[in-house]
Amino acid sequence: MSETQQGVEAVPGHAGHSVDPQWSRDVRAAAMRPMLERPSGVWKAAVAVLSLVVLAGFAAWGYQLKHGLGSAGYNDQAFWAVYLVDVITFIGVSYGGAVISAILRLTGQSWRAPLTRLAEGMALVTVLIGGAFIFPHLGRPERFLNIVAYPNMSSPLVWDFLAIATYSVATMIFFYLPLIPDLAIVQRTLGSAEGGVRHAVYRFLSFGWLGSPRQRRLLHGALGIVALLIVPLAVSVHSVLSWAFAVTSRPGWSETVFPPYFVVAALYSGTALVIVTASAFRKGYRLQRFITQRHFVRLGYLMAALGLVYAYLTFADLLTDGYTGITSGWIRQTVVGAYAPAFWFYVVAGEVLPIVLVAMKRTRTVGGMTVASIGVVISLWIKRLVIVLPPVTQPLIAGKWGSYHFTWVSITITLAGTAAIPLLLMLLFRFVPVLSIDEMEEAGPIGSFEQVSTETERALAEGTIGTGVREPVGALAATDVRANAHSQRRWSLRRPRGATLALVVGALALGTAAAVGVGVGAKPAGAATLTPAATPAATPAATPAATPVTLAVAPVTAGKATLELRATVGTPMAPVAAGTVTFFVVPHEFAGSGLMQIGTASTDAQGVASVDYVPTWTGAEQFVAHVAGPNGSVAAATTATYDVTVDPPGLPKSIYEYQRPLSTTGHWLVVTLLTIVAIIWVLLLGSLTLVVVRMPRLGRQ
Amino acid sequence: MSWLIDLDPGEPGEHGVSAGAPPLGACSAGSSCAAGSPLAGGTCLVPEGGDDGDDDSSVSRRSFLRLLGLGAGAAVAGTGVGLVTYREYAAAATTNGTTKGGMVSGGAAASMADQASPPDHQWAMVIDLRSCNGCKSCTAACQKAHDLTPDQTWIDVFTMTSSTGKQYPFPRPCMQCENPPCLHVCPVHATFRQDQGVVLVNQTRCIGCRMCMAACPYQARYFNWNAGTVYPKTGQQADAEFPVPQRLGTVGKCTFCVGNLNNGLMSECAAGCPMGAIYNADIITDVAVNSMGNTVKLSTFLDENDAVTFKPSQNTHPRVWYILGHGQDLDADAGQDTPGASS
Repeated sequence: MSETQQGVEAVPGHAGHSVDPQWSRDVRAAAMRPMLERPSGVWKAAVAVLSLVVLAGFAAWGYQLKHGLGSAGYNDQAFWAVYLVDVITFIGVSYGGAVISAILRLTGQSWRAPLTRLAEGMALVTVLIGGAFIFPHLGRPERFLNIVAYPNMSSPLVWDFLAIATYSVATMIFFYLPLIPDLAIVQRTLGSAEGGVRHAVYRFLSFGWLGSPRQRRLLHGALGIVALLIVPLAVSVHSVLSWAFAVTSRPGWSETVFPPYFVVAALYSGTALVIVTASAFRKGYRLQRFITQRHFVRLGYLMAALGLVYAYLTFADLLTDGYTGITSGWIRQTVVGAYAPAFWFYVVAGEVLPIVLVAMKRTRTVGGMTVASIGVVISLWIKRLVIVLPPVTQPLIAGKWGSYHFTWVSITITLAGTAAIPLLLMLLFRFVPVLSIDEMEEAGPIGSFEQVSTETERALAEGTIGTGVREPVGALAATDVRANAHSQRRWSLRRPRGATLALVVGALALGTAAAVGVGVGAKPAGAATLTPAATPAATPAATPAATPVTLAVAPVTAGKATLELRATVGTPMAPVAAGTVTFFVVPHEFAGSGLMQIGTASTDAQGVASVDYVPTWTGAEQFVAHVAGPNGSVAAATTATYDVTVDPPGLPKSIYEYQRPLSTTGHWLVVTLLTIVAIIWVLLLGSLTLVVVRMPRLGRQ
Repeated sequence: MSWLIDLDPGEPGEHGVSAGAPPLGACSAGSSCAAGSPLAGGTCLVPEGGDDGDDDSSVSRRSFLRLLGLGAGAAVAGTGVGLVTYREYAAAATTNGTTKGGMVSGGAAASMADQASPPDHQWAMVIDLRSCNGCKSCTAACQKAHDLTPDQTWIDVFTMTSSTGKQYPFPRPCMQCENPPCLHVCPVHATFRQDQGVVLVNQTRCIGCRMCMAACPYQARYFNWNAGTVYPKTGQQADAEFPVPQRLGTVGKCTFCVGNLNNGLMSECAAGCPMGAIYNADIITDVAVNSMGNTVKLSTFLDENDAVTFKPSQNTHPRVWYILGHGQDLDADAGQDTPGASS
């Protein structure tokens, strides 16, 4: 591996590509300028200001930790507010960046090349910030890892955690893998002489990348898997985030439309932030030559299409509840009430304005698209506030609507998160090229804007797909080799992608089948049947009374639960017939409790009255019988105490059988979902490990 | 240990973490039973003199910890601070404690010395709206007993409007749902349902995500938003059954005063109700009692008065029943609708 300064042509890059040397030189110069040159005064000033804002955010968080979440404007009728909106917004834009990049990559849109690094970098930075916003959201952030230590798998938040963690790792890998060739280029450009440590780090992180066809195959295979995984992962993240709302019973949240609603909002705002990011770095980092108006217009079209879908979902969400009016309080509050200004701001700045700007030819410019995107990003933050706050502040029983008031704490922390995006990106592009050099060299000056590389088309036409290329890096660029490399890449990309898809779909199908099977087969066991055997060990303690009364208790039928309380009034010689006897039992709980009436019966000719009683208490039970006198008085009373054994002691608690959610299909659903998560982790980390382990070896061959 | 309790007894090991927990009977093998007495039912009672302030079912937890050899320090150095007194009664009561789901169920009152076997209870409540005048004495008694802020109305008295536009008071404690949405959504099992059917919050576990507040259809949960009104961040706190004082950044709610109930006393709100509108009840022994000493057979009382639960469409199966009315039983204005007495 030569480490001396070399010309562009000799730098490893594109086996099978005739890289236009001038193009390559220009791309490298532009991409690495922010890394190699001393930062300008403007850059330093911007970093200083942004850092101050971020530090202020941390200070505000410190204040909040000391004084409680109340200092951020929260109260019991506005228990979810700005921080959760921040979490959704930041993770949402991250999703947009990653998916835009992944989809363009998967569909072979070569014009994406100048945008991918910015989009993926933005995705990486925002997912970290969005994840970090969970901490100010929590009342006890220091206990965050309880989610790992004591997870409740029926809680949407545990799945949120799983989904966000998985997605964050995927985003990091998705950022890192396409970076490997660029790191090798940076390492060579730096040379070992300048910057020893820096050079060594880049050399380590590029893992012996030489750009040989086999290395390229390996990298693109891994990248294909990760790009394919990132799309469903991102869908899952925002679906689960939405279910944190939708699984509650709150009107306005308990909506079936929520998962796609959130997913599309994320894509929409993410595309917008890609445009804003590209616009800012294009100007600030002088990338006008590479990121052109055509890029902005194409992204603008995509954004407008997503905006229309989002408008449609918003309408669908409002219509159903509003039509029946059963739970429409939050709609009134949203459309004409306290949140109406925010809602209509979204409609104007987040839907009408961007679509008009995209639709009119005159505004279909870099500036026009940037303005439209800024409107979308801001109004989608506000829109999420409008999604969160009306249902949270609504009175569920009676009384007034609650309200959330912004405080300096919550505003500062939110601004800090916003400032962290440009800050982290500016710092990031001090260390990695701001453009994806390798992909741009591959795409070439024209390919950067053309959907299908003409070379690939030719290779397809010539039927050369499938021939392996074993030449080492050094072999330079004959046309047929180039074609082969291309076709080889296409083929090798497709296979792992297909296999991944099949694996995930298969696991899903298997799991669903298992879950359904269990759901049909497994019936919850019946409630414990009531078969206590009452065995009174009779030691009746008769109380002398004016009218002689005796009270005896016996099982109605041996082995059955019911006891018979039998009172005999009068003497055998002179029974009191047609008297009224009221039976009581003395409860054992609650201070101040009196006698609990069991029932009333009239005496028969023998002076006997009886009621049935199902005992509930194992131990001494005290029974009382009152013989009614005139005018509601008690003519006579007696007490008897029995030791009662209720066996088994467990009695039915209520007619309702408590069941955890998903308790019939839940085991299998949880196992299936966790299996899928595990497969995704294996694929993600496996792809990375494969690249890291095999890359140097392939380079040496 | 809440993650032992909140597992439905019928479904052991649903969660990975619970797999390592020994059944309570297993503690007879551990040193902890030296302090108690292994009983026929596989149960052992351990004197509950001290606790590390973690949660309620320290028996199983300690056994577990000691088996692991981890909790020796905590158990030996138990400080005995902040425990509810009924625990001591529970320790004094002996023999056949019913066990379920791996914990000893609540103890019995010491006054029930003749009561050899503490029974199982399933606590419930009946609120007779015919007797409620909306004086909010229940709220005041609750807040005093639990050292709450005025905002933290664990039992709140809402002013409802009838179909004819008249207003009537409506006390709302925690419904102690048998199918509690708050429990299902809690990510860390901080909310759990102890085996007497009372839904409690382990404030030393709660991460303060407020998912439970979002899930509760009854607005029955209250967060500790502000420092100064609650317990400092560190230090001892009583267990989930008596979470006083509250902890900053965690959620609190009505505990049904389950400590009182297990101690043979009434809940603070029921005892504090001058109208006798609130009945403490036990489903197992089928009895309900109010502050006037009116003792009724729960099932009959519910049936004869057409008692209803609040928001049955939510499928929460509350343990709190309402007997509908607008203060008809009040002496002052019998037969009339009570104007909204709640301010």
